[in-house]
Amino acid sequence: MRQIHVLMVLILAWLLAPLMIHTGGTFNLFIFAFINLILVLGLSLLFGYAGQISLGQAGFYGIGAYMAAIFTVRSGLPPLVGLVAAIIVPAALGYVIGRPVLRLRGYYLAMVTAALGLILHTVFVEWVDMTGGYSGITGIPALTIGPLSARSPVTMYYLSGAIGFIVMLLALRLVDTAYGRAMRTMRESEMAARSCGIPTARLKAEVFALSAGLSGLAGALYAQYVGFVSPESFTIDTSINLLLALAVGGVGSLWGAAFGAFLLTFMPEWFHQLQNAYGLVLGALVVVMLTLEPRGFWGILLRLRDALAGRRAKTA
Amino acid sequence: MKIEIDDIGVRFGGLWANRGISFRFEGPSITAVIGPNGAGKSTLFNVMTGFLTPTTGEIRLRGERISGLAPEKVAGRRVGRTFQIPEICHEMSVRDNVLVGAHRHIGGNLFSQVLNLGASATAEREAGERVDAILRDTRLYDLRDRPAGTLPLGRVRLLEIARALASQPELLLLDEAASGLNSQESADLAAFIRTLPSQGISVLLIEHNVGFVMELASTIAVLDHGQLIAIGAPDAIRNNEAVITAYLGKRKS
Repeated sequence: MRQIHVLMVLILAWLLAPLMIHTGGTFNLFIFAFINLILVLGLSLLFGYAGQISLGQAGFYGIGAYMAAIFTVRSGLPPLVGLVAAIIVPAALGYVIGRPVLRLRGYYLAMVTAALGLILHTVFVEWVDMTGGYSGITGIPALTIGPLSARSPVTMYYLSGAIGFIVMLLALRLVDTAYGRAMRTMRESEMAARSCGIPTARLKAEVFALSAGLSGLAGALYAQYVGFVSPESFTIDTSINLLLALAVGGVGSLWGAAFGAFLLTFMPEWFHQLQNAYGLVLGALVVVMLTLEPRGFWGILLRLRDALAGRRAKTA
Repeated sequence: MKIEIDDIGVRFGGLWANRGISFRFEGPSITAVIGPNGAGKSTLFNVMTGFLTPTTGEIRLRGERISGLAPEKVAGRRVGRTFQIPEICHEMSVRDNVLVGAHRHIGGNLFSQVLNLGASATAEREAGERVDAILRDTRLYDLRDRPAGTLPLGRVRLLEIARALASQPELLLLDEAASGLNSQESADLAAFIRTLPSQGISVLLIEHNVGFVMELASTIAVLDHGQLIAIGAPDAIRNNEAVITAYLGKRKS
């Protein structure tokens, strides 16, 4: 229940924040933070909870973005259709690919998913008739629901935020269901999960599909906000950055994932004067954070809580 | 209920970890498989629970073959197990760990569970009530909200048993359940195991520690070098020449 209270405070802050935001740039940052939130939450469920690493998330993110673009620009369908396709197509592909590939573990799974991301990136570049190659697809219509068009930063701020909060809420709920318990048990012991009757091969593929679907959703929001997609947004760099954001935030926690997603988005802005040297800051942060506290930012919070509880117990 | 182990052989490369093992037992009862280290006890357990496919022979439960099925399918035939080295989810609470055992009974899918729709919600509540009863029986109820990783080994072994019981097994396989326990803990564990047949559960124990099973099991099967060398009541086993040789080594004549 306490999680719900935290969430309610955050929602209130999100609703009121535009009163204090005066520049489009800040809205932009929040919108990208919400998009990254959906991506990192998908990775957190897959890696943090179900124990299956993926270095190919950018590929599914890209499929989502291209679906949103192709269904509207090429087929002339409404943006909402593009958004739905952007969830379903990567999820289905994730399931079909996940079934055989997720038999691999650890490093091998990391390498294979990285290769998968590479293949998808190549498809975005080379399938010129469909994707426009390096020049990409322009003129993607904004997500429009009734009178609300998501091209304006304020509208998109609320729209992407609402979707982000819904995904967060559902993810928090998921990890507490039988399904979530099965995922967490599988992460620590596939043998234990199977001896309890959990079909782990199917479960892995389903969670992979879920995380691919969330990545696709994020891709559609990105494409429909920016109005333009091209392959360079969906390289292995993106996949690795998502993993680093999750690691800094906390691999085993959805709140940590959320924090990591916002950090990933805002840090380049805070350090924009460093330009290309920004990599030093991010790299150093990851090294220092994981050396001191492998559970990331979330782990530091847990330690603080334990320290406070300890002090309270002493004074009582 | 009848369990038949019929000519089970398992070969790893050139080595037969199990060879020509045949015996049967009827439940509800407590049966034990003992033998020195490397006798092939865990291999037999892994065959019985689907983690290994036998090279020869088959295992039947109520006349139906269960060997060669995937572990999750074997679990669906109401076979539960624990592990010699406990396999639990450390960060999850004790109660959630036990609820995993009830996974099969909760059913539904991702969507019905997340949205807590009708049947899933009812099944989850019913599983929760059953799990709370099991937690009381195993005296884990007061620890139910603790992360499972913070429990001492004796409790962890009980936790694994509780999780297996939550799946409502007819056949429960306990792999070295008493190993690493102090004498009080193993006495408590023995007392608890003794209550299981009255709930209709057949227990098959694997034990390195002969003392623990002598008081508990009605039938004891003895493995050595992958083969069954004796089977019978505890008293007969205690005085069996082949068993004594297997445990103590051959007497020089």
